[in-house]
Amino acid sequence: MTTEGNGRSACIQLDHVTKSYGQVQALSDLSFDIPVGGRYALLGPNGAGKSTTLKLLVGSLRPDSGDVRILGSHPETREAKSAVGYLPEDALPYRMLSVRENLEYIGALRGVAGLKDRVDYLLDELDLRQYERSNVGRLSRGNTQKLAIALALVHSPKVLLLDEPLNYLDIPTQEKVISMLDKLEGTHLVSTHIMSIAGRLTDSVVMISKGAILWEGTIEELRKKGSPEEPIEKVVARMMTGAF
Amino acid sequence: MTMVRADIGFYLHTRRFKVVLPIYVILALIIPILYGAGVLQKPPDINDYTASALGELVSATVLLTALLAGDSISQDFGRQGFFTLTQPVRRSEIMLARTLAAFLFSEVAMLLWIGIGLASGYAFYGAVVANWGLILAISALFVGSVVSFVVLFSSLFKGPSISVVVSVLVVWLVMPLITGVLDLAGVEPSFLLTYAGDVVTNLTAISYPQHVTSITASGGGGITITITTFEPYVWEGVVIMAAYLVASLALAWLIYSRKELKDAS
Repeated sequence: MTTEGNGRSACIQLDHVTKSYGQVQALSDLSFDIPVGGRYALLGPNGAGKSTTLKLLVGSLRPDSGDVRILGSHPETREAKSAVGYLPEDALPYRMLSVRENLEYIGALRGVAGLKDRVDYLLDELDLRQYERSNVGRLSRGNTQKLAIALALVHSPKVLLLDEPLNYLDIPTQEKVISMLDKLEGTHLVSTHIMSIAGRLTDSVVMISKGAILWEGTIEELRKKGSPEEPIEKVVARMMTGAF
Repeated sequence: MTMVRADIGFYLHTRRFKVVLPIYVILALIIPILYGAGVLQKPPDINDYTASALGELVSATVLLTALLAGDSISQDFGRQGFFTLTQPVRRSEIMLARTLAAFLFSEVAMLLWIGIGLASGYAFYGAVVANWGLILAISALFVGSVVSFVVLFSSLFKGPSISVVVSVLVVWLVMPLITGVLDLAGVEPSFLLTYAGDVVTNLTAISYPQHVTSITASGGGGITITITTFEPYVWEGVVIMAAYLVASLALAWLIYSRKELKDAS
């Protein structure tokens, strides 16, 4: 684990990372660090490379070149995987298992102590109690998303990687999830293309486009880039389209 | 063990398991019921009876295993894989758990069939075939080799459905077809797993069948056709099965350990 200029250790590190899918360059020399305890949004338009970045951080993909680290370890190591909770975009938990079986299975693989209580807590917090015996294949998209969030949180991860976490959720559930995530400790990296979600869940932004860094800083600094009355979305849109 | 238990849970939940296993058991019961009900005349001895009761054992088990284990690895390269491959568990452990679970199911099914054959033979003749121990041991090796081969196929595809279909086609259709063609050409199909599987039913005979049998038929116009059929030696069958088991698992592991979740979402 390296220490950044601000004295905090880097929790997530990408160092000159490139990744291609055949002829398509998804990430191009991407570098950024997120300190321990940081709440960051990975912001960018569709196809910017946000999901690819998260997949590299969970070890589902390997970089063509460059280095990726989670708490100083490579993402494919047991140490890194134990620390990370990951919510993939359009998550699909095990369809053949029930909601409770999904949580108990992942919890068991992760060696969660007091698993039954933890599962009960998550079922209640995310209003999934009435579906605990239902097979995932029968759940609505919103309830499937809630289960996927619960699966990412079941082991109280030190590092939380969330890809479009509020997708498919109704507004009351969005608020519930936001408040739940707000109370959690640890380092959060939230991939989204919606600025208002970034603003609710995080305090800093790594903005990427076409697989490269566009801008990095706090949401306050981002606000200051526009005029006081200008919505922050307009500022972001101008930055993403290169109109700055 | 957590993974093996979960994988067994998967099989218990799958529709194909709920459909295929009862059909498999019904198939195992057909011959004993037909003999028992007097629809078919009982063979003169326990060996012929057991050969008849286990006649379709190999092809039915191959089909069952392909259906059960055909997506054992490919399921991890769909969206579900994000919940498996991101856990702090080595891929080797995941693959081992999947293979073991598929093996346990197929082995239990095959034991059911053999058990029905041996028990009904005992009921009808008051005896079991002399080689029953060897039949059980070699059938276990056969199931292991089929599971490994199917796991290899499942590692080649990223769609679970296509990997199940291809596995079924290869082990249940293509291999027997090649055997038929090679019989006509007079070539021993000693590279085929299904050929090695014939050892299981051959062991029911009083004296093990000859390795090579040729039948020549003469037609009109002086045309003669010779069909040469081969029966594997016991040692040969064991070597083929062991080779499939080791080579398939090694290759599947090589592929599985290197594959990325590229476009699952």
